[in-house]
Order: sequence, then C-alpha cells, then structure tokens
Amino acid sequence: MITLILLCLLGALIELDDTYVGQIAISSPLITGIIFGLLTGNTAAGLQVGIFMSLLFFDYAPVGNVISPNGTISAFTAVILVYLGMAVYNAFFWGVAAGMAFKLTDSYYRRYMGKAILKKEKTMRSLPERAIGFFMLRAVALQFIISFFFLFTIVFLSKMILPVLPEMNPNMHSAMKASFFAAPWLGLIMAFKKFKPSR
Amino acid sequence: MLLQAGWNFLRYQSVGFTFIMLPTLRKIYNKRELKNVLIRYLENFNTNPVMSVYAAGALMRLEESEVRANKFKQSDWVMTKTFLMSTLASMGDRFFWDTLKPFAFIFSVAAGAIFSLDVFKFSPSADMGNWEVLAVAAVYLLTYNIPALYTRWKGISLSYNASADDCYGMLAFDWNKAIKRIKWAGFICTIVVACAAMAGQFLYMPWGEEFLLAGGALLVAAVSGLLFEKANVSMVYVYLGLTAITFTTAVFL
Repeated sequence: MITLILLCLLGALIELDDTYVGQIAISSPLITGIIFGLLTGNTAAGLQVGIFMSLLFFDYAPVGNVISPNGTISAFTAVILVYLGMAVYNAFFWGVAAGMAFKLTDSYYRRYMGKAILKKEKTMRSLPERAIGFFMLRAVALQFIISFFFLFTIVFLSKMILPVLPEMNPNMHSAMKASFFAAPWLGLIMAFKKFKPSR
Repeated sequence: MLLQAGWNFLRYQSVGFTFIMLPTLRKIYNKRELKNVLIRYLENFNTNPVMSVYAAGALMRLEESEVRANKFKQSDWVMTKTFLMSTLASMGDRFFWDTLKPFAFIFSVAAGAIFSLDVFKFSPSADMGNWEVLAVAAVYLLTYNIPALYTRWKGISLSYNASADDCYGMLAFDWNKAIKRIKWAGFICTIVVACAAMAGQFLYMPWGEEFLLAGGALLVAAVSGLLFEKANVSMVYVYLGLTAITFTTAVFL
C-alpha cells in the first residue's frame, strides 16, 4: 500500500505540470505512461497506454478557458490498474473514464478559486504583495491535494473491488479489446486532420 | 513557469502574471504607488503561457519608459495589454498547443516505430528495452521543450527591446512559416505511425479472433471517426460510445 501511496503522490506532483506549474509536457499521457510503466515494471504497457491515450486525446488543446479530459490522470489510472492485475484493454477504458471525471473536478475547483479570489479581494487590495504569493501557494497546494486524493481514491477502490469482481465472459473481453483497437485509429484520423497540409 | 499557478475562471492568469511582473514593478514604483499598480495588474489576464513572456517584456518597457517620462496613461496600458493578450494567445495557441506539441508526440512515436518499438501489436514484446522507451520520452520532451523554453527565455528581451511598430518583437520569427513546415513534417510522421499501426495490428498478428477484431475495429473507427469528426464530436466520446455499444452487444450475445 505504501508503494501505491508513493505512486499517487508522484502522480499528483506530475499532474501539477498540466496547468499550474511548468507546462513542460511531463504531464502528457505519453510521459506519464512511460514513467509509471517503468516504476511498476511494465514498460510495454506504460508506453502502449501512453501512446494510445495521447492519440485519443489528440483533438484537445487547452485553449482559453477550455478544460480538457486530464491525460495525466487517465494514463496514471490505466497503468496502475494494469499493475493491479487488470487487462490493458479494460484498464484503458477506466483510465479514459477517470480522466473525464477529473475534468469535472478540475472545473469545480477552478470555479471555487474564482470565488476565493473574490473573497480575498479585500486582502489583495490592502496587502497585494503578500496576498499574491499566498494565493498562488494555496492554489498549487490545493490542486496537489485534490489530485492526490482523486488518484488515491481510484487506487484504493480498485484494490478493494478488483479481487471481488465477477469474471467477464469471453464476449465481453472481445468487446473491450475491439474498442481498445479502435482507439489509436480514432486518434490517427484527428492527426491526419490536424496536419493536413494547407495551400 | 508559475504564470498559471492560481488560474481561475474569474481572473484567469492575472495572479501569476502579477507575480511575474512584481520584481520589475518594485524597481519602478515606491511602496505606496506599488499597491495601486498591483491592483491594476490583478484585473483579468489570459494568454498562451509560453508566449506570455512577450507581454511581460512589453509591459515592463511601457511602465519604465512612461513612468520615467512622467506621462503614464492607464488607457495606453490597457490597450497594449489587451492587444498583447489576444495576439499572443492566438499565435501561441496555434503554434505551441495546436502544432508543436502534437508534432512532438507524433514525431517521437514515428521515431520509435522506425526503431522497431512494437507498441501497436496487441501484446507488445514484454522485453521492450527501458532505454528504447526512455529515448522516445526524451525525443518528445526535447522536441517540444527546446523551442518552448527558448521562446520563454528569448521572448522577454525581444519584446522589451522592440517597439509597437515591430509588434513587440513577435515579427522576429516567422510563426506562420514554421507552422506550415511543422505541419508538413507532422503529416509525414502521421503516415509513418499509421503504417506502423497497420503493420503492428495486421502484419505480425496471426490469423484468428484478434486479427478479425482488429480489422473490425479499424473499419468501425474509420467510418465513425470520419463521420463524427465532420460533426466536431470529440474522439474520446466516440471511443466511449463504441465501447458502450460493443460491450452491451457482448452482454446480450
């Protein structure tokens, strides 16, 4: 369990790069998949999840105030579920679902920070220098805590639920495999659209 | 790097941008004046984070020169800031988010595919070398970060030393030409990746259930992807929809 907690802490730290600190691309699904694949001893699954996830999220760009499904959370969840014994095609689906769920959490959090800045308006006006540093520190720390608890909840629930889940029948496995196979092609369609040379 | 710490739906990057400007503003204004200046900066600010350095450089120059000449006009400041925010967002989002980052990814995967990483095989070889995988990560990070970090480092001095007539240093680099070239390179890399995916899923896969599944998936993905792409539906939703349909069918079979 301690290993999983440490992995969640690292996951939350990497997630900060997505918006709050850095934006040097280490939070992209490809790098997250590779990092956690290496750490959990399944490099191949980490790389495959990273590439398929990046392709699937190809049409998202963090432009303006758009919040995309979180690729870091998706790749982390998928790789950790593989580590906990789930087949990669099933883990991939739950990874995508986790990324979508985190999008909602993130959007609530940013709305909350908007309200927080209104509440702090008085302090910001009287002591702006100190208030700015404190506000930024608080925002980064809160985002780290939220990501950590989100990841920890997923890992904890998976560890509890996975052993007692009924076995899927072969048809269900085939269905999940088929949609997993489709994921990179969907992404490649978007890649062709994005890079289509214009005159 | 900290521009987006404190990003929120009300003032966007204003807190981070004020933090970036703080050391310069401290040098220009005394403590009493600084408070009002910071409040002015805490209004809305939102642009592309990489290109934001151009806004910082230009506004530093504006504050310094106009305060020294004792002719600071808030309307000039608001106009310059608004112009920079929208121009930098438009250029930076197109270049960094929409072109360079996707290119860095597709280029690193294409490079990996050329050096025989069988990630598109359904069960990639378990003995995949860690160094090969780390090389893919390094290619991705370097391809994106070298131009991005160089822009962050150079942009601030370029915009500080340029005037409004030079578009605050933005014209020192032909962004549109670079976008066009990168898109061409990206197109070629996408073809390489598509070939690698084709080979991985069909060429090396023995005839059987998985081969048929892969073929069916390609067909369904191509039809639904092209159909929904025209309707601007995200591929994530298409994937989730496909999973729901195939899984429900499997339950009832």
